[in-house]
Amino acid sequence: MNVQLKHAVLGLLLLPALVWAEGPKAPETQDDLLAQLAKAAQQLTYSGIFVFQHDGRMEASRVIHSFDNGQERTKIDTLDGPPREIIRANDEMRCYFPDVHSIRLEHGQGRRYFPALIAPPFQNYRDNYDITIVGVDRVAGHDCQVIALRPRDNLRFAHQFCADMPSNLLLKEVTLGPHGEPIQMSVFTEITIGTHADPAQFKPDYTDTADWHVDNVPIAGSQKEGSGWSVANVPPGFHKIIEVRRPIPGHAGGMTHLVYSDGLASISVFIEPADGPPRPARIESLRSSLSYFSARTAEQQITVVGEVPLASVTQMGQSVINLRSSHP
Amino acid sequence: MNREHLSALMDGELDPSLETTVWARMKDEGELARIWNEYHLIGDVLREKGIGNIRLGERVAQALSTEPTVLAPRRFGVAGQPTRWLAVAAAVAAVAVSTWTLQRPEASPSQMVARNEVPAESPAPSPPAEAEHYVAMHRQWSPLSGFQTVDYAAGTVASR
Repeated sequence: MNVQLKHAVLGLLLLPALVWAEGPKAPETQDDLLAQLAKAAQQLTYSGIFVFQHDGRMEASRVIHSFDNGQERTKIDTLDGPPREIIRANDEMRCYFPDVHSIRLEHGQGRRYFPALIAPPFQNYRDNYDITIVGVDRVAGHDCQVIALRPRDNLRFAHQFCADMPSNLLLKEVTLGPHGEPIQMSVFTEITIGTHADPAQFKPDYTDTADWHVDNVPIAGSQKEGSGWSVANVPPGFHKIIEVRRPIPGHAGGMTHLVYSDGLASISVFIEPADGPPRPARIESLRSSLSYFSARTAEQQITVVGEVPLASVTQMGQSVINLRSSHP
Repeated sequence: MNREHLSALMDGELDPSLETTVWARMKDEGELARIWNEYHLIGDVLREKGIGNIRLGERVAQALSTEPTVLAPRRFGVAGQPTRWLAVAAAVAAVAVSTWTLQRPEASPSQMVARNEVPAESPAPSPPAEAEHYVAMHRQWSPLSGFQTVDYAAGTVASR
C-alpha cells in the first residue's frame, strides 16, 4: 500500500471519529457551559450543607463561600466523623485537624473541592468527555440542569452534574461506574445562594493553636527538578499535577508520589524502594470507586490508586520509568 | 420507610428517587434520626482512627497471645456469664481486626500476633489492607474525594 493511499484510508477511518467528537453541541457552547460552572463556583457567595457519599459511607459538611473585591474565601467543616476544618483565602489553604492538634498549610491552586470541580483549561474536558445537557432535576429545593459528561474512552468514568438554574452553581456530582451505576456522589442537601457573607464567618473555629504542629506543604509544581520518575503511557488527557517526596522510616530516599489528573479524575502513582523478590502485579477494585495496582520490580515497589477503571491504573503501573537513571 | 431504606441510603444503594423522601422523613421523625445516628456510631466505632491512639489493637493482641484458650472461658474465672464474655470477646476481636486493616502496612509484631489468632485470614497479606495507606495519600489530591476522608496521618509530607 503506498503512502498516499494509506493516508486516504486512515482519513476515512478517522472521519466518523472526528464527526462524533464534535458531539451534538458546538464546542463553543460546551466551553461556555464549563466556564459558567467554574465561574459560579468561584465568584458566587453561597452557604449550605453537602453530603459526600462513597464506598458505603456518607459524610456531611457545612460550607460557606464568598467572593468580595476579588478575594475568594471558603470555610468547610465536617459534621460527622473526626472534626476537620478548611479555611481557604485565595491561594492559601489551612486544614485544621483538632484531634491531633495539627494544621496542614498549603499554597497554590493545586487542590479543589466540591462544588468547585471544574477549572480551566476547559479544552481538556472537551477532549475527553462528551458534554451534553440532558434534562432538568431538583436538588436541595433548587431547579437545576442535568449535565452528562460521557468519557470518549474506557479509561475514565462518566459523571453527571446538576447545576443550579440560573446561577450555574454545581449542586450535585455523581460518578457513574462502568454499567452506569452511581459509585460516588457529592450533593447539597440545603443551600442558600447569593446572600452577603460576613468576613467574620470565615474565622477558624480553632484559635488556641499556638502549640499545634504545622505541616507546610510545598507549592504544587514548584520543584524545578523532579525525581526523574515518570509514566510513559499516560491515558489521554491526564497530566501530572504534582510530585511530592514522602519519608519512609529506614529509607533515605523516601517515596515518590506523582499525581495525574484529567481535570476531574485523578490517579496517584507511588514509587518506593523495595526489598525482596519481584512480585507480579495485583490489580483490583477497592470497594466501588477506586482501582488499585501494585507490583514489585527488582528495586521498586510500584503502587497506583485512582478513581478510574482498572485499565487506567494497569496502563499507568506498567509504564513507570525513570528518566534520569538506569532504573527499569 | 424502614431501617432497610436508611441502610441502603448509607450504602449508596437507595433508589435516587427515594432519597429526598428519606431525608425529609428523617428530619421529621426522631426515631429515624436516632437509628441513623446509631448506624453512624457503629460505623465510627469500626473505623475510628482514634482507637489506634489508645492502642486497643495492641492490648487485645497481647491479651489474646497470653490467653490462647479463648474457647474455654471457665478457665478465666468468669463462670456464670460465659455467654456474655464470649460475645464481648467477639466484639472486641472484630474491632481489633478492623483496626488492623486500617493500620499501615508495616505491622508491628504484636499486631501480627493478633492476626495469627484469626484462623479465617489467609496467610498472604490482603492487598486492600495494604492499599488503605495509599488510598489515604491519594485522597489528599483528588478533587472528587471529600475533605472528610483525608487522614492526617497520611498528610505528613517531607521537603520538595
